[in-house]
Amino acid sequence: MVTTDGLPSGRSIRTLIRRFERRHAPATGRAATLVLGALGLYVVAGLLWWLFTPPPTVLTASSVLVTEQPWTSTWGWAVAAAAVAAGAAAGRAVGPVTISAELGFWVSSTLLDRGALVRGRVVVVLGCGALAGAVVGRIAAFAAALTVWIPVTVLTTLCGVVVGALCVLVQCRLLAAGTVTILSRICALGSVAAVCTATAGVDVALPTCWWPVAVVGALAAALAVVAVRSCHRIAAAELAAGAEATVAVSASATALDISALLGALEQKSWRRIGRRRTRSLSGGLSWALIRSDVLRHLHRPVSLAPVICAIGAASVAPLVTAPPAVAVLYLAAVFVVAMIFSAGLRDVLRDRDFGAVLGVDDWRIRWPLTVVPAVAAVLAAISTTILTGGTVTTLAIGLVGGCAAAYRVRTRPSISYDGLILETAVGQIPVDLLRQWLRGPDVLLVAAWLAALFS
Amino acid sequence: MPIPDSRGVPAVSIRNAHRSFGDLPVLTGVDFDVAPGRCCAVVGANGAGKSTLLRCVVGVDRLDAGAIDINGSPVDETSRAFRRTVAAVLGDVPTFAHLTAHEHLQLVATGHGVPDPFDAATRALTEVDLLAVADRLPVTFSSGQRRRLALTSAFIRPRTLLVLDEPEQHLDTAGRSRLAAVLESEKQLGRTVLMVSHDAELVEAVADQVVDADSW
Repeated sequence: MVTTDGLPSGRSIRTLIRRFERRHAPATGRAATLVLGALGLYVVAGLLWWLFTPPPTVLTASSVLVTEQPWTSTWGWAVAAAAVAAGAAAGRAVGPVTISAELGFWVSSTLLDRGALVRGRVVVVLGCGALAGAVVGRIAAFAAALTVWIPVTVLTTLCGVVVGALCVLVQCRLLAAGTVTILSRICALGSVAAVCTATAGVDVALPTCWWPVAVVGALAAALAVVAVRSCHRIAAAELAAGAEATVAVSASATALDISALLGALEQKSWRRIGRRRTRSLSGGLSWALIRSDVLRHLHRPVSLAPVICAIGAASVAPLVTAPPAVAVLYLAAVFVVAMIFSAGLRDVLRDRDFGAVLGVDDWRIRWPLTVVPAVAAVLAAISTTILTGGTVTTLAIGLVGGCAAAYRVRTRPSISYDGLILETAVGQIPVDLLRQWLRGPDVLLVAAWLAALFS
Repeated sequence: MPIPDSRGVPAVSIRNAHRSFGDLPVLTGVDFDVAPGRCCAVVGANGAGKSTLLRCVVGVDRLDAGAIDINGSPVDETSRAFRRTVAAVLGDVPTFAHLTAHEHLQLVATGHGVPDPFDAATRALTEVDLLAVADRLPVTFSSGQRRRLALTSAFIRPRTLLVLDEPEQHLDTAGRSRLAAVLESEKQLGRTVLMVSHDAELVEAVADQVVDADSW
């Protein structure tokens, strides 16, 4: 087959796609995109303004926190380390550089310069890292009540760039995948150690001078340059790896429903596990369903990590926050535990044919799958009450509220988008959609108010 | 067992390929060559690792151990030389919701530097009997039409190696006959075909070499 010598640039292909798109898409769609873009800019600008204008003691002097606590800079380290751990893990989970499946098949598989196609995305990743780093820096400065906050904020901004660049370098196969995982785990452990140190009242000063900033700045600049220059090395396998998670992030953000993201991450985790030893599920349908719910966690013990984190956070809460906030965190911990252990309920209710397959009515499937989450929530509630010295009232509110909210979320039917929409002067209000989204959070809000009231 | 190649470097060379998901081994020491201009069909039961092998050959998945060479060079999906050589259709093909079938093919043709992509897409759609639906969005296509569009995306561009995963899927009898004819002409033009297939007739008609995945 004859081909031309010159190939189109990545930009000209994008122009071509946009030209095709304009031919079919209605003009109102473009106007909506503009409005959404302006709204996004407004929200980001407002967030930045809010972060950079409050006084240094806005957090430590708030009524939510225990103001008698000697607020040390160590809390700032804890926040920064936790953010780096979470950022590195999230970066690898979503790619961080991805392209959609259709772009992968129809465009990036051609002879076009791969670097030109993804370079803009690499810059966006680095920018997002910097923005997240700046936000974390401000929160760390608030946690430490720093008056000289600019060096710390610049430092964490650069750390954000470093984390983003390291994730990209792993995708470029210039770094081993384990590098970012090890960094994430070290920072997670560092964060736990910093919390322990901070609660012991030890002060580890955050940098207020500029030389650490210069060092990290040089590192960030070098890594960013290498990441941008090497992005042509990102292969289809790496581009596709995080695409599913990215689609799930987008779907979760659009539908305000985190279950899409959690489901995608869970699927990925199961694929990584591959296989487990088969166990017998004999003893009647109810017993088999209960056993299957237990096996979910035996086969994937890592799912218990958020449970430990939730109970740990609720246990540390009385040291740093006021009783109403402790009661709310306690409720949140029970809710998280109930949600994690009720994944079986979600799975069977997502597919309404499950009952037909098993030849029983819906209720005979539903109740056995509430046993494991209920037992787990009771154990979590009692252990947290003992650790935090909570009252019977907060125990009861936390247990009932957390379990009821989790049950309502898990038994929520699939979202329907064609319900009642009110036309108002400020735009459309999707009443029916809000009603569906509030199934679960409504109980949680009421329980949180009661827990704070009776604490 | 590697088949000796009388014409020099094999088009595809797979050596001691290993791939597993967690502790589940999928490929365990797969070893074979495909000579240039030949058609190799990989057959076997579901779950034998046939599609995983093809994904590794085209670089959208990686081996845990072993090596795959295409025309003597290791698989490197990021290189233009590799992408110029290998055309692949694996599984279902994602499509842009807002582009017509014709526009999809224009994108591929443009990206590969095919002169006059519009005419090339028109010709390609005519050959697979999809010209009547050229202006339709692929989301409205039947599964058979989607399959034909996907295969056309491989036939519209330059290539020396064609990698297909169950190309006969969703095709009607006429479509399968046309596919067999196209694969035969690929061989006549000196191109290599590596495919996974469950269609015994298609394998019988076009394959010069059959690799049984059940014996891996």
